[in-house]
Amino acid sequence: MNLPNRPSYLRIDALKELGNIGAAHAVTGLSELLKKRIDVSITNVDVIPLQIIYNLFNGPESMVSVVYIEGYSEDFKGMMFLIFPHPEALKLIELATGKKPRDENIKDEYSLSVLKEIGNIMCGCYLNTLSTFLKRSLMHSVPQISNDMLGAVMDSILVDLSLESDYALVLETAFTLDKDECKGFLFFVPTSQSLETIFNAIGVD
Amino acid sequence: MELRYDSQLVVRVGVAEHTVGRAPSRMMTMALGSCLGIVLYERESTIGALAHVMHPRRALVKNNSNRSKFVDTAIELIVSKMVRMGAKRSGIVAKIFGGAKMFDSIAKGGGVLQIGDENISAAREVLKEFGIPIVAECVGGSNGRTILFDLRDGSVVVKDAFDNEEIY
Repeated sequence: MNLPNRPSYLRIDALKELGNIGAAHAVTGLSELLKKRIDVSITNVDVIPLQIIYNLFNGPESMVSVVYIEGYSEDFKGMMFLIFPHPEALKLIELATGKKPRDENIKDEYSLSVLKEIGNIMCGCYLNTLSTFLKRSLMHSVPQISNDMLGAVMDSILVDLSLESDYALVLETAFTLDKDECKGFLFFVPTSQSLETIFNAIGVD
Repeated sequence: MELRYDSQLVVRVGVAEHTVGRAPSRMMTMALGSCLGIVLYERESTIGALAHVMHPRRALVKNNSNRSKFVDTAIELIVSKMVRMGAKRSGIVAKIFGGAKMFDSIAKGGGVLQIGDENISAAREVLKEFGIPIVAECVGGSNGRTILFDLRDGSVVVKDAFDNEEIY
């Protein structure tokens, strides 16, 4: 198995900063929507084996809600996914709408579109921040949502990356709503070519 | 992947891994999404195999050193391992699971998220080339699946995220 090169510390730091600013904007978006205080952890940047993503939370079988959005321009492509463990997603829907979801499994249209909209707002804010730094406009795809086992959902997303390598550079931010009400995770995974675009744009060799 | 030929333990098969064994062992793989779980079984010798594959064809992919990642090479690999263990080549049957579409569609790069369908049709083609009949399948749809393969009788229990269970 070919081990990928880890970017230099300078590059990792630059990405961390970028991730922090992006995540801060994303969370502000959510915070305004819910009228709640939200705490954000420092963005973690690392090259990790894709396998690790399958084993987050309680392993591949843990129930999650994932909103997936792709940001792209001519020379840039990044995947964003927002993960809420199932109980957190239920709480979030309740916070956003004021009532419990009709369906415990979050399969009803209404709950799904609430989560999609939250994903749209957060990922949109994150990508907007990136586009300022990258000095190019980033398009983004329509949000997609899936409520299922973590491993099953991630299959479909990571299959694209695994064509290139078994490792990926991942920017991860965790955020918690006021008083531990609800927790979520925001992931940004740029493709390897896009990384060069980022470093060129922000002037880090 | 660790191989246990004579144990009651359940062998867990991860993404892009495979295992071959014989009764009374059991094998499982968790959370198949667009990936495919390929189960092969030969009743007389009770030898069976389970592979968790991600992509249809090895030749189309750059990062291809792991043979159990692809439908075509994984089937080739587990068939030859089963035969080496003593399974009768002509008695091998197959069951396939997974290949779901976890997201509706993606505006751009929509191709990749339909990978589940490609995996299913690749498995059907490759198994046909090998002359291995598919005796049961639970594929497509939009649910993740966990499968438990019991080599004592060749049965496969399929479970989804909402605890619905079916036996194939």
